[in-house]
Amino acid sequence: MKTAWVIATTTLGEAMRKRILQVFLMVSLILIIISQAFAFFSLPANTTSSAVGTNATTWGNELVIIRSLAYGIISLAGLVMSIFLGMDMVPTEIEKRTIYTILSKPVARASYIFGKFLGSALTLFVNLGLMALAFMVLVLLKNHTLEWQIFVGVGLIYFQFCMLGAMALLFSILLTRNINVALSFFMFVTGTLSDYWESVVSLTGPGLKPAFRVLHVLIPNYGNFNMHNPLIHPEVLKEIPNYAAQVRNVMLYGVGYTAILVLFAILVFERREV
Amino acid sequence: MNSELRRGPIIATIVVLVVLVVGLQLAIDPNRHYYRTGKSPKEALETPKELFGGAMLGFREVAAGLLWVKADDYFHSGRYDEIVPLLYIVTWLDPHQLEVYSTGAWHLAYNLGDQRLIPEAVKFLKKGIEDNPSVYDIYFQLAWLNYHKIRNYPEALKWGEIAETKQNSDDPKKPLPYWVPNFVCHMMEKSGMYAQSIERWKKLTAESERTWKSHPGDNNLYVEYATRKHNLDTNILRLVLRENVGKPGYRFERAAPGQSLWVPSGDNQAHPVQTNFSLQVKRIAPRRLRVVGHLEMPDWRYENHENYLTLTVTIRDKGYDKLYAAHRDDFQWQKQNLTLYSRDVSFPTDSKKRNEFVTELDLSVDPFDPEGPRDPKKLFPFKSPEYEVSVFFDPARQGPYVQDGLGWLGEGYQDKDSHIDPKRGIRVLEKDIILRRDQIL
Repeated sequence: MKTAWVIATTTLGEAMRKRILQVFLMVSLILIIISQAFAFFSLPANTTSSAVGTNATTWGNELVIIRSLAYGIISLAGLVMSIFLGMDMVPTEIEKRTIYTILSKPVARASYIFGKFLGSALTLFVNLGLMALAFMVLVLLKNHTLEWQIFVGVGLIYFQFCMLGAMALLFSILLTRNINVALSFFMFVTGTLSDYWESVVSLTGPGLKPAFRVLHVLIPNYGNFNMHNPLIHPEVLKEIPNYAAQVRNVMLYGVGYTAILVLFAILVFERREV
Repeated sequence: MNSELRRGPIIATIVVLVVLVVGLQLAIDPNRHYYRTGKSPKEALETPKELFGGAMLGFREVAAGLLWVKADDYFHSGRYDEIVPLLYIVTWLDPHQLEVYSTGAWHLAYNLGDQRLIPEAVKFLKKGIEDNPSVYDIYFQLAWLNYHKIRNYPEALKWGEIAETKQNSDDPKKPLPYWVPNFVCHMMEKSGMYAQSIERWKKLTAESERTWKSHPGDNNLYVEYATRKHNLDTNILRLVLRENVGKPGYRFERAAPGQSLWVPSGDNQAHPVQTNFSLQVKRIAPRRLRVVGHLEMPDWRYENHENYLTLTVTIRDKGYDKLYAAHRDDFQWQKQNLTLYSRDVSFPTDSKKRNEFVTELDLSVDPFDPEGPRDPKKLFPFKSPEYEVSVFFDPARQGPYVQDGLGWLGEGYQDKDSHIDPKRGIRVLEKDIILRRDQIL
């Protein structure tokens, strides 16, 4: 465990020094800060005679757009960073042959893979955490309240992309970089749209439904983590029963699925010749 | 040196984790409808491709905002047909934008100039209620639509009463805006429950008086109190003025506003006003009908004050409700096959003109926008073999002074074509004339 932690902190240091990640972080932070400039896309509030009884203010609507944009930007950054981190860590060390110096020491391959994953998860944590802070400050300036639920929203994104990062790590041991990127992204889109596929399958008739159901519970369901709408409209949070329990279940799902992927990566890496 | 990995425990752990993850997924699934965009892939397929990717990557609410701007653009450029699917896409992407439901339903019921869309507005609001069940806003919109456009007052009362039990969307700790309970009182009155309505006004007035007196500097609270007090006082006055309407021993007599229109007749007989309603429909050109009728109401005019009666003239397919019910979810079919046009007609209570009302139903042009681009043959397809032209008179829709003569429940008049509305207990007047298709086209 200690070895894994050393590898993780080293990986974090290396990743944070990478230009490309710094650029992603800076661009994301800038986009979050300027997201209020897009608030004019907010939906009209109480501007027509029809809207009898609609008391929502333009302020509230602007915040909806700001929150939506910020979560979207953080998700996008998380997507790019997790795939980038996951696909690059092990192959780069093999190419640079630094892996030999590590594995020649009393370091178990399992510890190495676990440490690498932990390092990428820490990197993601630091980056998404900084974005969450920027987002929180922006909302604080706009709304004069601290929205602690931002951490719930960003936490969900974090677990979602830890899962994707673990998948990219597994693929990086088996596949080339390009195929890894394409396959990880494909799995992400498929997993995100699993509800949608379910609806499409339901249109085709009952025959395919059981097969789809099995597939639905087995594939990584990235769509589970898309629980941001009630956080974007905090006034509807109270309408949702057991939101906290659902968040807990989804986060546990993320941890569980990530663990499966990391364990698979360990098994595969154990057999791989380096 | 590297230690040998024991694969067995790892595989066992993976199996345990798979079971755990499957269990969690099964626990997550039943609650996912609260967060996901919606079950229907129809809206997803219709989402513009340039926005679909962004929406799926987490920019759902932004995509909804952009599409709403587009819907507004369609509205201003007359591309009405394209608005309806867009409304559903916007609310599919972001089901908690209350303004989209209220403004969208307003477009559907009022602005698009197609009365066949009114049930779509109701459906759209009901979808909004499904997505936002705990706040009052959309319940109230539905209540308002039933009151103002559909004129189904018991239904308006029902939704208004539900709205009253819900939370303020601005702040759940705040009470609802004062006009929500006020609306419920008005709907009670229009639904024939005038005694309950007055009791309710009394309670509301007392409540607002207390609130205002505890914050005497708050002008808004004073307005709230004054509005309720005015409504209560007016209703008590009306209660007195309408006390003898239609009762045996009383007859109608013209009087100044503020005085009872029913005076002792000196006998014990009932003297309801006999309205002798008559109706004729003539075709004056293809797709143009003249509707002429008499409603012999007494002359309410006092000095120079004119008084008007209002009735509703409707033309639609014979058996419209059944046809609609059979194709409730197929708006394309409805558009291609159903014909519906309804308008209010007001006429003065002038005995010299024998209370004649004349109106023209001109369906050879788009009556909502005569110079607009819409083809009247598509707006009014006339596909059925027969049509009904109906005239409807409801005392609850008349001005207060006219109601003083007719009574809260229409007790002051009688007609062979009148009947008591079973839901409200109000005497209404309705007459239909059936026309063949060739008598219209």
